[in-house]
Amino acid sequence: MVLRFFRKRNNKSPDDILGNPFFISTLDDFHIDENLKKIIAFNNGDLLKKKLNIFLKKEKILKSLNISQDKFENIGRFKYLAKPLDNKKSWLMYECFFEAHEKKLKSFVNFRKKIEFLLIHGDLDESLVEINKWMDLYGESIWALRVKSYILSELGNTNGANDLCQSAYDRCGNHFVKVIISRIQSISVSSDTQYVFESTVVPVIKEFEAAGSYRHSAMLSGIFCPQAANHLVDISESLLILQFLTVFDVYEFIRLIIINFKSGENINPDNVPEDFDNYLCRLMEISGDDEYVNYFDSSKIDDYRSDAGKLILSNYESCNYKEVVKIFNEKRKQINNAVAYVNLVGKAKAYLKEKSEFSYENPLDALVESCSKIYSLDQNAVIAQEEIYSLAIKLNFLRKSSGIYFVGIKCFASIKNENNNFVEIAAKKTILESKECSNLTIFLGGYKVEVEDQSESNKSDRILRKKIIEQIKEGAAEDSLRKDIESISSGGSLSKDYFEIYSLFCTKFDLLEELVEFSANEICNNSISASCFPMQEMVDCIESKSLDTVSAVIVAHNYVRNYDDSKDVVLNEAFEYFLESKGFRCPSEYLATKEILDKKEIVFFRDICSIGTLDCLSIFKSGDALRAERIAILDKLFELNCVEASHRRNELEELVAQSIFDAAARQMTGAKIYVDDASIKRRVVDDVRKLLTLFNSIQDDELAVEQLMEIDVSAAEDDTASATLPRAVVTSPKSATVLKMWGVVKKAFIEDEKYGLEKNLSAEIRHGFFSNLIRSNLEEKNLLTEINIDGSYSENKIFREMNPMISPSVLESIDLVFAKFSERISDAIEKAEAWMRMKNEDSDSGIHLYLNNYELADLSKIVSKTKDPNVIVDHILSYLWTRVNESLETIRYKINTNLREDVICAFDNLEKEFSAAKNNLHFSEMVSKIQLARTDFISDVSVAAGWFYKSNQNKLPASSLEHLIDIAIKAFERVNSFKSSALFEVSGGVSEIVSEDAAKPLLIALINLFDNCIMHSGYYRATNIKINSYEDDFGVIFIEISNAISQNRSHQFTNEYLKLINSKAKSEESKEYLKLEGGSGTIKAYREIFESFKNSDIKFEFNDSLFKVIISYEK
Amino acid sequence: MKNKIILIEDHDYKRTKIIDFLTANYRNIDILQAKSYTSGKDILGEKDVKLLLLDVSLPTYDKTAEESGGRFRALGGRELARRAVRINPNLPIVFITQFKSFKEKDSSYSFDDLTDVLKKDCGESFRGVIFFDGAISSWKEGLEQVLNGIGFVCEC
Repeated sequence: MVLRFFRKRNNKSPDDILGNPFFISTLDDFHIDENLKKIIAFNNGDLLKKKLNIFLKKEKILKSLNISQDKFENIGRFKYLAKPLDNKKSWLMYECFFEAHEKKLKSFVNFRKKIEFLLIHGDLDESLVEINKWMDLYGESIWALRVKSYILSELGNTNGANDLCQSAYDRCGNHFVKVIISRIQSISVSSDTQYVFESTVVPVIKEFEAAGSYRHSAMLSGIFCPQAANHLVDISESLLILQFLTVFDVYEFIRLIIINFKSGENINPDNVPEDFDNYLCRLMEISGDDEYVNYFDSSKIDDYRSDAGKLILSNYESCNYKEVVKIFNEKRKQINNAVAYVNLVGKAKAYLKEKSEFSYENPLDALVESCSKIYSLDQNAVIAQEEIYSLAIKLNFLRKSSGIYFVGIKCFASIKNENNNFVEIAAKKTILESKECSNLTIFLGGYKVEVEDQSESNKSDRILRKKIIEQIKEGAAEDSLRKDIESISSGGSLSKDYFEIYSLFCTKFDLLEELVEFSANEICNNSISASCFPMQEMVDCIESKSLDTVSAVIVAHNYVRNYDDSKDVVLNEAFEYFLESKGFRCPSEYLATKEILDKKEIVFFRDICSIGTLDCLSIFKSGDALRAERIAILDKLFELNCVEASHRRNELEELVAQSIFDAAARQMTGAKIYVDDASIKRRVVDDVRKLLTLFNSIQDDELAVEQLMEIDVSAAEDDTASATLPRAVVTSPKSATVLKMWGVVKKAFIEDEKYGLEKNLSAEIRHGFFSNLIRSNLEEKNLLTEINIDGSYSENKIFREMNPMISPSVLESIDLVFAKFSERISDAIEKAEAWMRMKNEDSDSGIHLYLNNYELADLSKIVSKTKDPNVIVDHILSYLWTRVNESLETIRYKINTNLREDVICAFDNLEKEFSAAKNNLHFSEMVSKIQLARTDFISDVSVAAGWFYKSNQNKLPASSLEHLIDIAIKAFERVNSFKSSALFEVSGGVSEIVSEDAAKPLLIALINLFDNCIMHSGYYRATNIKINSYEDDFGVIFIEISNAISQNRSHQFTNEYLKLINSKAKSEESKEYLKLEGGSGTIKAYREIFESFKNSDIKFEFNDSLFKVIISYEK
Repeated sequence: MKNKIILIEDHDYKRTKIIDFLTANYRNIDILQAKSYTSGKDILGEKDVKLLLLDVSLPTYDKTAEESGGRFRALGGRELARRAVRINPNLPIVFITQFKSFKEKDSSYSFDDLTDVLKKDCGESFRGVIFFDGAISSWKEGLEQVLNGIGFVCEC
């Protein structure tokens, strides 16, 4: 009976099945979906709409859809309703879904208004009550999860936020939804939102895109990227997969697509319905959403302004800044969109010079304070800008989130740049998302702004500024404008406004040279002010006009350091021109002529004349000459009181250390694999610290390694909504954070331009060195021929020249033999070079830096236990070196076996084929050349294999004390370039070996003490330094460093002074002093010795005008 | 008077190959050599130079037993070429490189990107970027074309 029933049912059409209440009652959810799928697949247009509207009225059918789910265990559970689903059908299907859930949607739209109002005003307790009520009624959704986790986190209940997300994560069966949940968790519990967004969300969006899963990438971009920012991808690409979200989330996403499309954002027109406006009207009708008014009639934007908003505007126009702040504080809840006015209020506060810290109770105040800091060019302006963007990321689920991000844009866009399309799009999104907007937003969105004429305040500074801006744009006369602008500078305007207007004026009248001079002064006073100037245009001007002033150098330097480091050629050129214009070959020559420095000169010599810039001057022929120049500059700056002693000493120490290691590198003829761990660590430790904070803020999820999902990319577009992710996407937020730490360190380890592995492999091995080494021996013996443009091998000309009497047929055969040999050698080199690359997806060989599951578990444990990011970086570096060493061993093995065999085989073939081709003729010279080349090749292989060892460039090998003293003296002389005047006298000598770990600290101590001798003896460069080392009968080693003190200095060396430096160096406080201020040379020397040698001591004595330092330690 | 060519190239092998090619095929040439950014810069001011031939990536200093070469300038050749153009805007410039892509600080350039950048920097002086591979003769043809274009007569 049952069998018959099913057989019969199978013959029914999906319409019959879904239209029959009895059949529906017998079907489970998946079978209902199957039938609905067929209906969608085989019907179109009005007919499909009609059918869907009928079927979706049946509760069982409606409930079987993803869109109707209200628990994370069911969200995304069901298959897609149709695949492929064209866009037209998708829009139609979503419209039907919305109609079926009309009541729910209306309720959502109303509730969202209410809760967003509470959130933006910081009424967190009430919002928590409201969202709980809402979730009791309508269940879970991505949107509700974001709202509630944000509230809990802001209430300080990060555990609660964690629990909430973790529970959703654990219950959810859809891997992609899990990815979304884990990112919501990271963002809501993090204290460094912008960093977390950039390091854990943006990479995943890019990974999906790179894997070809544009839909997933688009969905993540739509959910997480601040709406007013440029989306990383076209979010409408996600249209098909929206169907596995809840009705609220789908509605929210559709709304985003609408806003983005209308604002001119990158949306493929083929992805939106042809009758877009009508579609939106129907949507508004269904949802009751009345905030789209500006979409249809932008001319009425002004009409929607609240009374309180109007009051703020009119007071602002009249420069009643106190009133502006007062009204905002008192009446903000009467404003439909209070975010629209935070820039005005922030600016009013900047005028009032009201300062406050970064502490506030609600997003509105946070935005106002941040704006105030930016407008007043506060030293924390950069942090303030980050605060705004972080808030925009956190509150990205708000209907008016575009406005929050746009607050940050407005701070820097008060004078509209006609070419900036991005600002206009962002302004339009803000306008489309909210009825109420500020005048500046309307103006930046490309609409006309009507401002009432405030006759009383017509002469006010603000009105004058507006007038000037208009006049500049209309092309008024330069002289009259200049007068007006000058009057602004002397009036009460904010510096930022003045700089921006003056910049606009200079840009319009092609006075960028004048602006370079002006801005350099301001940048020296306050580097934050650079944000007010058109830096790129000024740098272009410096480049095209070859400007040669110190101001040009300062502007170029600021630009290269903060905006675009690829312009360092412009900085180098301006730097050279400036010195040439002054008639000097190097900065120290110029500085020597100075007795007093102005602020621009201080910035020039102290900040710009660094090694990285100085090395563009060809006067220096070596690294040591360069370092000597920097030290000469530092000494003079110190003499002129332009740098602190600790600043000078720290740089000196680093320069001497560079010289020592540079010397060590020169002696390194074998190993070429080098990564500067210390520099990499310095570079990444802050990022790892932030990730550690994030890690600690996420609650335990058992750090399951198995949560690393390896899923095939090809499955990503499968028709099931679950189990479809590009591989290597980690869903667990804790594991993702640990992996991110690994990724950050690994990236720097490989890619760092100065210190990374790839720089070494590329510049020192792959690009030429390896192939040149192998080829040069063979070419020298004329065994290789080249490939011609047509792909054929050329003839062996030299062999032919040497054997002119040989018949052409024999020569042709021999040419063929050399061609084959050349080809085999090229293939062998190419194959070998592939082993020396970083392994990627396209290759199965190369250096592979991976983290295995045991190591990930181990690293996770370390991350859980430690509070110190340095410990984590050290561990990751050790894993990386383990992998590198494994890879190097493989490369050496392959060079010594595979490459060797390949080339030996090529030689064997060459001999055999040459013997056959020479047709019994005796080419004894060539035969012996082949044999010689074979022998030479064996030695070349050993050389090449020897490159693939880790080079310890940054570590001094264990050396005798005598040798280390010698190294310290030489390095000190080299970088101070006074070998001829400063005399070192060395006596005694201990051959005791100083361990590898202690060698560097000892050198640093010695260098600090030598520097002390020079700086305090009173003889400066004519100081005579005596060094005596010996060992006593008890195995204690002594190093004595002494120098004479000039008469006019010797009075300082009283007993009290000696007692003081003896006790100060050894005190516990000195450690802190060293950390905070760099300490003194003696303290530094003592600490280095104390921490590296057993029972060590350091004493300072003064007898008979001779100052002596005695270092002692046990063997 | 001999045709003066400046060659700035740090790889001994590559430099030798280029010199061998030039001397074998062109008579009456005088090749001034430099092995780094700094030494290259020193000879850029030479008078009556007919061609500047240089590598794109160079060490800052000549590598010797006393000097490890200083900072490796991924686009050191570009810096030199810009300077050369200022000294003599009519000097033909050819870049010859073994790199297929370039990374300088945080900027990456493909071979084609770099060609565009160099073309822009050198203006009329730009004569091309030649990819060097010891196994393939195409770099010679490329160089020959450039030399012929500026009036050198190939003897081959």
